[in-house]
Amino acid sequence: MFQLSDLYLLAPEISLVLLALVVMVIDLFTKRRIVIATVSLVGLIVPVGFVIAQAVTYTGPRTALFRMLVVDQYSLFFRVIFLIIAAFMVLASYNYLGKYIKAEGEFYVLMLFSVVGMMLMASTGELISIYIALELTSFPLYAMAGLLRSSTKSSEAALKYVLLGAMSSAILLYGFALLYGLTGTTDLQGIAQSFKSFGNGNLMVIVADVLIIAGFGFKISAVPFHMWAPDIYEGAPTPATAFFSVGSKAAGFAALIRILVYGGLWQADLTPLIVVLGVVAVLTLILGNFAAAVQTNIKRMMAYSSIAQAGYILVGVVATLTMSQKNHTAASSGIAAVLFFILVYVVTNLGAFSGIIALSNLTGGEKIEDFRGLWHRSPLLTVCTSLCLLSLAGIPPVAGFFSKVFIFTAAWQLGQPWLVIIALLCSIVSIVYYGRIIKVMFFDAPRKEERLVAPISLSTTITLATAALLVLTVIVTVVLDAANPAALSLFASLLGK
Amino acid sequence: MTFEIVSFVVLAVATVATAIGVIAFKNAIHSALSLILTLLFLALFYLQLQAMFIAVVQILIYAGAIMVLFLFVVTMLASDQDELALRNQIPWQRMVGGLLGLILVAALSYLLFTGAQVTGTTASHAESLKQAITTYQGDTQAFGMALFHGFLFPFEVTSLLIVVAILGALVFGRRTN
Repeated sequence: MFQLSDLYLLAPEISLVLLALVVMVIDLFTKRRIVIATVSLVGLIVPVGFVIAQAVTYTGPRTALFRMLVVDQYSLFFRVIFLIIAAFMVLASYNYLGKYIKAEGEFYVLMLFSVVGMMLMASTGELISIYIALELTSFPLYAMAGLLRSSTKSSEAALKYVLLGAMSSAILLYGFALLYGLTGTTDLQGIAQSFKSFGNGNLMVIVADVLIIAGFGFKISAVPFHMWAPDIYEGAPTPATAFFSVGSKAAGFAALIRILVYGGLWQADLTPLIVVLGVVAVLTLILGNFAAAVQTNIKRMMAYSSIAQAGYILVGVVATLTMSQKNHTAASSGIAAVLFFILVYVVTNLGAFSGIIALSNLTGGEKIEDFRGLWHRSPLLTVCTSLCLLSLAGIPPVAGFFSKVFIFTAAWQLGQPWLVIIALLCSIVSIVYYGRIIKVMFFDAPRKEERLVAPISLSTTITLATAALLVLTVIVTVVLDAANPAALSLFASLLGK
Repeated sequence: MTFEIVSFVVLAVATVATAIGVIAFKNAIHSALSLILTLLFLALFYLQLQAMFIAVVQILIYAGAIMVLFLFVVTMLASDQDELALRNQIPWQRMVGGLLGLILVAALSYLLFTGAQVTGTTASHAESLKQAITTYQGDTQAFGMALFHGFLFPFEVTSLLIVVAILGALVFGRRTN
């Protein structure tokens, strides 16, 4: 039943919606970018405060609004991730917007609405709500891709994104419809209950799951559903690209894991599905890494790199599904590793992108060769960007190393040694292309000698991201202490009652 | 039972055929008319499921109001079709796409039909829906209860979706200077 206290559970999203509306109204009255950005950034304190309050007073998973809203540690973890993304995006896009995009206010409003959708995707326990939240996430992304009105590439990116997004939604809905037909309910807990009685070898379950995975495969850009990523990443305005690469991916994984695990699909025999997902993971890893190695445009390279990163996350998801039936606690270690990986990936990729935004803004080029000798021209930016790239590659001292180690050990222990070996080989390839940029920036002779002075907002963003990365490296255990119960809370609904 | 199956098959074939027409016709008006037919057939599906209210709403809103808007836009914007005719840059693309599509349809129908036999899935699972209809006597009430009670949350989120869609349309529709 509906109670007023339910609204408290929804407070982070409600306050974020209000913030988006306030920014939209302010944009009507003043065109000064600084005011709009400041309001967006300061306003984010309210949802952040609500999330912190919910985390501190957390006593156990709670559902509200007819079990459609689920507030457990898992959704709180993702809410934190999405709010981090929102804050970084406001800062990172500030300078770019003034230079290239006329619709600054709209950019922020669309971004905030999209973040609301992402937060809802992580915290709903019902198929229809997940679908609506997914569309609320995607619609603003389509518009953001086309915001560079004078560029045909940007318009092409927006159109491609809309068409492919609509098609993936259709496939996803087909999968949802089959699940509903099988179980008679769209409530994930109800689905989990009815899956208890399903025997082995249930083909319909597999078909439904494959369709759902294909639908989400577009959002997380897993091979063979990755075709859109490079074109759209290249054509869209760079801050929007940064947003796609972290937000859409994290939200896609949040909802996918929620359906697969919280929806109790693992209770049926999923061996064929695990094979399918394993193949998808391997293809994603191989294609992402090898295609990234031959790119000359840095945004295209980052697109393939983000495809490759989705491959590592998929390895963790596959490992979890293999073990879920036998041992929940062990299986949840796979999800915990995935959660940690996603957090580190989000911070690192935002850092790397703000470095790229800054450097390509200053040099006026997006080719890798335009980055030659930047060490001599802008040391701070170069060092920070390099650290983020090193973390993406998984080089030891940085957090990216730990996130990869956790995912690989979890997958190994859960009985997927082959996937781990392939992933390891692929991450060696990744060192080549991340290393190439670092080499070009540090050791090649610069084209021009004059110093580059980065605008204050961008240098703040990238310094913050790098600092956050280093902090994450130090407090690995603290984050894991949050990720482990978050992963377990997905199983709690089935085991607790 | 047999009548249901026969009418289902006839409707299904007609719906898919008109849906293909939407994307196959060169003339935008023809596509729009084909879409109206598709939506009408969908309404017949709802009738077959005894969902009177949704069937009527489908005709009134989709086949009626929204399609009129579509036609207005099409007639205002439609220009010489020949100029817009796109040249196919990758000739084998269409064939490979069609082949893959056929394989997908074949695989899905094979799996669904055998899967339904293995699990013995019947309509029994959808009993809750029947119950709802009998408790509220008449499906308009059941629909209203579902929309404003059980499914209140996604219903409200949809309003945000519409705000975003309007905003996006405004951004693209604005004149650049």
